[in-house]
Amino acid sequence: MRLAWWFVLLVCGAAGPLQADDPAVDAEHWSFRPIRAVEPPVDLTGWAVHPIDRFIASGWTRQRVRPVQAAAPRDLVRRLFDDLHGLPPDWQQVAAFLEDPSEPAYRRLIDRLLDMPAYGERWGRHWLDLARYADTQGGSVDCPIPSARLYRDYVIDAYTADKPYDEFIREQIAGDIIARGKPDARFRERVIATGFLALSIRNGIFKHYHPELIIEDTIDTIGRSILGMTIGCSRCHDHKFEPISTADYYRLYGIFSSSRYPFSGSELPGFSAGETVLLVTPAQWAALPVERRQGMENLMATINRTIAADPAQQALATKRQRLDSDMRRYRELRSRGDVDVALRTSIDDQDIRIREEIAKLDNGVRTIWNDLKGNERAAGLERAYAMREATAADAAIQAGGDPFDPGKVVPRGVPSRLAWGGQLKIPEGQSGRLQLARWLSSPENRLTPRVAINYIWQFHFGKGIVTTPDDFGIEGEPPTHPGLLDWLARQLVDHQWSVKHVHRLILSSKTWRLAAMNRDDSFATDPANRWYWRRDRRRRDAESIRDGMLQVAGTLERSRPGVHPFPPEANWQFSQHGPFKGVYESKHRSVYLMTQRLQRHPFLTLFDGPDTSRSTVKRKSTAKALQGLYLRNSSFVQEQSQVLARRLISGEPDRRKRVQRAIRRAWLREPHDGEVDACLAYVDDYATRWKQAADGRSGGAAVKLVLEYHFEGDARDSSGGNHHGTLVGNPTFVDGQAGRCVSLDGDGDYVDSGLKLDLGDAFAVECFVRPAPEQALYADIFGNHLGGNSRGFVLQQAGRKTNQFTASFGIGGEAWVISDPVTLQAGRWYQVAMVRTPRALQVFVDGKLGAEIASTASVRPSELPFRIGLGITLLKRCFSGEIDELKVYRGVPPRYRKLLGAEQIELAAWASFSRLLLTANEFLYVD
Amino acid sequence: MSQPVSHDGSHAGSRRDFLRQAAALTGATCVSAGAFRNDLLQAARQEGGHPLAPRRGHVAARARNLIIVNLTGGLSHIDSFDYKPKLQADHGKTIDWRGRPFFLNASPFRFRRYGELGLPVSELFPHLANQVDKLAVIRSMVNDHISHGQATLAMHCGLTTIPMPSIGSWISYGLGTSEPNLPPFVVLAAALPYMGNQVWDASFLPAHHTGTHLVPGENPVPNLKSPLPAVSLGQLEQLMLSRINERHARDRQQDPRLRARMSSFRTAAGMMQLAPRVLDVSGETRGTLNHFGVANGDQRSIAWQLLAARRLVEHGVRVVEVVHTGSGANWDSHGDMQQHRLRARDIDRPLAALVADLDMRGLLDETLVAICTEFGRSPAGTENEKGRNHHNSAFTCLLAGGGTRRGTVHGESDVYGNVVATDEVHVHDLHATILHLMGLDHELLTYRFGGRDFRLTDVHGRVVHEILA
Repeated sequence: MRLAWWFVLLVCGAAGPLQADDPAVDAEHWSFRPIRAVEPPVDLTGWAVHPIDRFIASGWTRQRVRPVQAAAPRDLVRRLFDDLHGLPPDWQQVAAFLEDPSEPAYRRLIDRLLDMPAYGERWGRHWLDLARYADTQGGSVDCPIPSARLYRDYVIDAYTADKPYDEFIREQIAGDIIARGKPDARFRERVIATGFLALSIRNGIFKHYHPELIIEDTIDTIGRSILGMTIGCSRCHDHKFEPISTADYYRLYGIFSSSRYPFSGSELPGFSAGETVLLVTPAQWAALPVERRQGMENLMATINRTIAADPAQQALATKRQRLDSDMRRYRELRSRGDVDVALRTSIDDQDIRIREEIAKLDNGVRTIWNDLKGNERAAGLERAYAMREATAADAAIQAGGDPFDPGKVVPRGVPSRLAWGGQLKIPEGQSGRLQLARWLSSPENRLTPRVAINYIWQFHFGKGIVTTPDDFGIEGEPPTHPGLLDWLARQLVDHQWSVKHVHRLILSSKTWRLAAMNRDDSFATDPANRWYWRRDRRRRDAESIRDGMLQVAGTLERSRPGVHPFPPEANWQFSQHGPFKGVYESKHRSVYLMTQRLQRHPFLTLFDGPDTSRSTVKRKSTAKALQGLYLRNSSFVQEQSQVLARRLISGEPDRRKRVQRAIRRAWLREPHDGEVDACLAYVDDYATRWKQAADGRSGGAAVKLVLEYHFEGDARDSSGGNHHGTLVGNPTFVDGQAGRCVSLDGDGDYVDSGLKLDLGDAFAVECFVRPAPEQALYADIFGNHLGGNSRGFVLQQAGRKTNQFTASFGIGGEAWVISDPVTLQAGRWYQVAMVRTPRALQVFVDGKLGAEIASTASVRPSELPFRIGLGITLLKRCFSGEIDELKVYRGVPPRYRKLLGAEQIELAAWASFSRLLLTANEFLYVD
Repeated sequence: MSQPVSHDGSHAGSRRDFLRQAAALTGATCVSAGAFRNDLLQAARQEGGHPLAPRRGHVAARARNLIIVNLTGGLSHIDSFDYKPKLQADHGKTIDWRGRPFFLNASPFRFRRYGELGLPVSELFPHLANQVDKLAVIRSMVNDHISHGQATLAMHCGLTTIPMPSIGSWISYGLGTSEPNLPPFVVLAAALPYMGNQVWDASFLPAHHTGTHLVPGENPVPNLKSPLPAVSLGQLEQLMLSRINERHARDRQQDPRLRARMSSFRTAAGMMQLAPRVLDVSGETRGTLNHFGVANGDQRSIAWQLLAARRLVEHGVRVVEVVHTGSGANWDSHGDMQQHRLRARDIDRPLAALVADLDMRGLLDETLVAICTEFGRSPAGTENEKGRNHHNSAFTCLLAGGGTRRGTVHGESDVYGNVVATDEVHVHDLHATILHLMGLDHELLTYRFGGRDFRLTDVHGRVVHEILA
């Protein structure tokens, strides 16, 4: 084999390029040439049979690199799941493949994975990156788009169903037109598909403000995602490098200025629902009960009537006339080379004022709109953020991108150099989107199939055959393997544009199955692995890290969530001063997280998620320190590792087997020699240190009794501090748990110690308590808090239910750390203790831990004295019932520390081990 | 337990060169040399160098660090640093403005002359006025847009329309950082400004250059505090993680990213130690705390933020932006100019203290302080209007230190403060000047994205040499 390799290198390396990849003599730029029918080169190495491998191997011979060996079955199965699902497999799936890693088994596994919805969630996400998907509009207000998710789900479903790529493109550009031409069962999804265009980023605080920028985003996104061209630059000037002129840009521009974009709201809201699209076919509409239909039609008529009858309409018309005449004058002057800045500013001002008034008019009918929407919902109708046709008209070239400076009108169409098969023929009255959609998805289009293949390749290999995936133009990088690109592009077109067919081709190649290891000779020649002599190790992307952690911890919710919990639309008052902001917790896959444009999702952003404001053609992959902080300390990672630890402990009593199962579960392999011992030693070491830390922290001897009331007929302090309590109201003394106890009536009775407490972050307050059946809301058993001021601590009734109590302490600002509630039945005695350690707040009931919350924040000392039975002073939220044997300790008495005990320390140690499993490179990177 | 294995590279030659270069650039300020070298070394193998490693600029740098104070909502120039006697005299008169009658509204504030410069400053800024001889006052600023969002975007990213890399990200990209245990670009913002975190986003620049948002208050750096009960436990876990990763990397040669990830955990650990120290102002003298007006235990007020900003740049953070106050309850005084009083009362004293304190420490010459706003406020409105509208055709920004000439007034607005009369300074010019002072040529600081070389200043920008020392 070795000999053969060198032989091939010598022979072919000297022989120059092979025919298949020979650059054509054609002077036309490579990506504008027709897609060739290329024969895969003959393989002289004996390594390659598969067509893809033959293209790749021919590159090796010329570049004098040699491949590494094939990936081990375990690496392969892990890679396959990450690639197709973005989720790790479970151990059974790995074990089954290790049992039978044969070629037929491998192919069956590919087919099975491609059939699952998890595939659509993974590969749909890639497209959503290109489509700069977000659940908000952008602009300085960033209003939510509650129905954006319909488009997201459309994309996911399209991938799962292997919707032919040409149809996928057609529907996203002109689905509404296709649907209306043939309103069948697919009406709904086709209309929704145009969300691709509809999600173009909005600007400013008005409806459709600066439409030229909305359209620019549309054209830019189509350019980057489908055509692999940067067309946006041509808005202002002829593209410096590409054969796309400003006229070409406005050919496309006219198509979109002849289309109507939806609107979901802004600072000056208007009626947003009117600017979304009702998902109903004429037949479905006709099938609705007559009274329902008429009800909605009447409301619509009322809206139109109300707006038309508003006296402001008249004034508005006058203002519009003035604006029009000013604009005419400005353009006139400008055509003579005279720029009137004051007039221009005045035009801007008038425009803004007119928009404000339109918004006011719209607002006047808002209640009717909400009514109408209620009716629609009742009729089971849905609205989508989708496109419609508008008045069709060619656009004028805007000199320097300035809509105030219109020049020559150009007919709608596609860039002339790319008009293979002639310019679009757009019938009268149509925008041209349908014709554009057909041109984009035509097999004659020389860019679409190549660009599609390049993205698929990039998502499989981490880099494209063209490494500038959104720039196939003259300035972009040429393909490393032009023959392969064309061969695959032909495969796509010839196989009904089936993306899954391309997946199967790529995944069955030996190239995709190479190991992610090094060999020094090839590395020396080609360190960047341009020639695919090894697999590029992949860092899991943001979604896969989060989903993978949830999956391994067993907390991932696999279903598809419903509507995001946005505030109800009727209450929206978002503005540039108070834009929409939201981060919604969820255990669903990350593709379903609510993402917005103004405030990007904190987790996704931290781990290099997509830019929601522009087409993301390639994710970054950084290793920032803030990621390190997140992986070490964040509550999400803490929580997942705790859950995983509990699962490990309860799932396997034998500690050695437990480590083995843990490593299988997270890293999908058997432990190395000595690894189980090392891990167990770590868990033990960790537990020992935890104990030492716990002991050292509150240091047995440091515990000091600060206050002690036995309530034997008075409130004498027997701690030695002489902080004798004052009885306020009319407390009585009755038989208690040890001798007598104090009885409080819930109507003004309490005991005031007069003592201001600053106990730091290690203290305990304990007492016996017997609650009466009726409790005031938030009545305190004891505490020294200030109410809204977030100072001090308290054990109090939890609100709503009368027999639940929570412990809490203030940490300044308006923040409280509040424990889960514990239940104290009326009429029964309990021994309760509120225990603060520097890391947690706990409530013990009858010696057992009843509730806990972890917190490292410090207790803000209160200015109020410690009192028993009194809630917020002014409100007199007083406790009703009996209290006995109350003690306050500085430091945590050993009995509470011991109760933290063995079980919890064990859990903490396994949680630490689990955290290692979830944050090690072995988890974060896929070979 | 063994110590983490030291990482011996196979590119010893280039590594030495790299370190020598790094040391030359950072000079004596490189305190935590061990961690620093390790990190840069690891990352040096990645893409031919750590994206945050210190880099040499294009021209001789006057300033090492930049503090941007962003007065959100629009500071009124004619009520602060751009006194207009004619406006005061013509109060209530009608002028034809933008084709419509407008009523001139005089400033409700008293002005006094300050410093050797004799610059009139309003009663809103009595403390900062006393520092006027250290300032370079630009009274001829122009921005391209009259809405908050777009104007704020322009002020940070150059363009009003499309989110682009922030000026802080550009500087971080151009110059790197000397303290790898802290982020190179830090933003202190209690509330988000207009356009949210887009204004400190790296956009298409490498993500390391995105501003790190610290929220003043209990936990300014997200996830900085370990939830574990003892430092030793965190260290133990870290050590085990290193061992696991070391073992993993041993079988996976020539993948610098694995090492970079390991080093990011060390940097995180470094941050956990360093950041609380940097942000803890309790070690400052009583005098300094009083000077800024930081009360005991305060770690939230604008005074604390400005003091923290000084400490951050002292510890090697390249760019700090302080957002005062965010997109609400800010300088946007439409209803009544008296609202400016509330904002000024909070920030005047600490802002003056920042300038004076930097100067006293000898840091003002190497720290550029840029006190900016997205636009000014209109001298004219309706009759007897108490507030003022947005105004982007003339407004004022202040620079201090970092190679600017002390006690300079540049440019003039017209008699009413309506439009620029002389020496217009467009936002692009301000950006070009700031970059110049930092040692960067705004025409050479480019990044290739989507087939085009992008710049902060687009195709514009002129360095305002007149205000340079």
